[in-house]
Amino acid sequence: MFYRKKIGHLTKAKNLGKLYITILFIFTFLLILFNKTDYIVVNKIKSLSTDVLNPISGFITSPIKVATQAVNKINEIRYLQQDNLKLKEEVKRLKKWQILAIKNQRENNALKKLLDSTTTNISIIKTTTITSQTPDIYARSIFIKAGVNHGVLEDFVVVNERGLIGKVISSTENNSRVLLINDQNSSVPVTSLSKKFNAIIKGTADGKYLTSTFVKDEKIPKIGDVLLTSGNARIFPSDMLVGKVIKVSEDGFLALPYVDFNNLEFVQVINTK
Amino acid sequence: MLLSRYLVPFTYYNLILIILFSLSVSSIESFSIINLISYALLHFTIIYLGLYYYRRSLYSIYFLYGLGFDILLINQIGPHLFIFMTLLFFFNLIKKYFIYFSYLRIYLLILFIQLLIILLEMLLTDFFFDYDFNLDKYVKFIFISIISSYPVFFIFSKIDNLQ
Repeated sequence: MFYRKKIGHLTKAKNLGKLYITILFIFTFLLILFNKTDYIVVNKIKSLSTDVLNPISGFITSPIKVATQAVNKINEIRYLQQDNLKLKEEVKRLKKWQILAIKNQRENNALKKLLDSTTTNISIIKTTTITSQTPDIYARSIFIKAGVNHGVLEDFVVVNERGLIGKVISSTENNSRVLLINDQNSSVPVTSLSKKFNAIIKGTADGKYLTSTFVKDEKIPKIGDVLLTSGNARIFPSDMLVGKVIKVSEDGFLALPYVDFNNLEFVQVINTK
Repeated sequence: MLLSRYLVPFTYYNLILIILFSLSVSSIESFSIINLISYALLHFTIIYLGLYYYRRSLYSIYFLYGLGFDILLINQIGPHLFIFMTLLFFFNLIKKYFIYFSYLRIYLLILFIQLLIILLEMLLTDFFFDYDFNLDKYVKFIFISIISSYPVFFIFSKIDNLQ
């Protein structure tokens, strides 16, 4: 009697285990199936996982990050004298530019008054820090410390002092994920300073450059042309610095982004009014 | 003494997995090689666990790591989750054939499966989510795996003897 009960209990446990594995497989299948459909449950799972996993991984990797920062600091100290000389040269160069910029700004303001134009159509939502960055294995994205509670929503644009960084692709209460412009799935409509051509660019596989996926009327830019957002997609505001053309071929062109994606610290979330 | 009940090799492997996962998913400035090494070693560890410590709870572990990798690295769900779950199912079916394998054969088998699943993950990501297959990166993974796997396999055999 006792043995029969025990065997019955074991069989029950085994069946429960099998049922659990079956449910797990069904759940896996459903997640994969609904992933591309923007199903609300899948999005919830994604944002919840990001919110939970990021702080944990950040805490575990913090000793290594501190160690690497220390190594970087030591390297910086080693080259302090050389950097100082470089900076002195740069200050001289920038002072000339500053004089020119002030002159241009005065001229701009005077012309704007004459034309009665509005100054800008961009509103700054939040200036924030980066909590973590994904490694260069697949997607290139950053996580910022601002979410729905701070007014940051999907499709908002992220910039820094050097130019365009990317756009918000998902947003939770206090965090957001930003897809960088050097990601292979990003798509940024660009034009040149002279507005002579229009193209769409995305990141290359190694993430170092931006490559054209579409060039309107086959009008290829010249090497050295500055790329600005054209504002065609209505996600990115127009005239934001993107990159500089470094290679031109028959199929398209290659550009170097202005933003240094390896040294991002502070970013600004903006939105077009 | 109270903790000694829980300090079994399986617990140590889970701690190793958590550390490797964390190092794989958050970028380390100027030392991006750490991300690649951790990513490769996590695959090695997960295969080692599947072969030597097969149990039902592994399905949950594989599921969580697969899902975590997919969401944090690709922002889509699919390649890692599918490969990890299929791998464990596959181990369940064929584990009886591995029992009589020698130490070296098992090591080579783990290395082969590791490189194969990384290749499949990269191909699936290319096919479904438009992230081009990067041969340079795969070659890096091959080198990292070949160089680091034997010392890791040796350390794991020492951890196995801790019980």
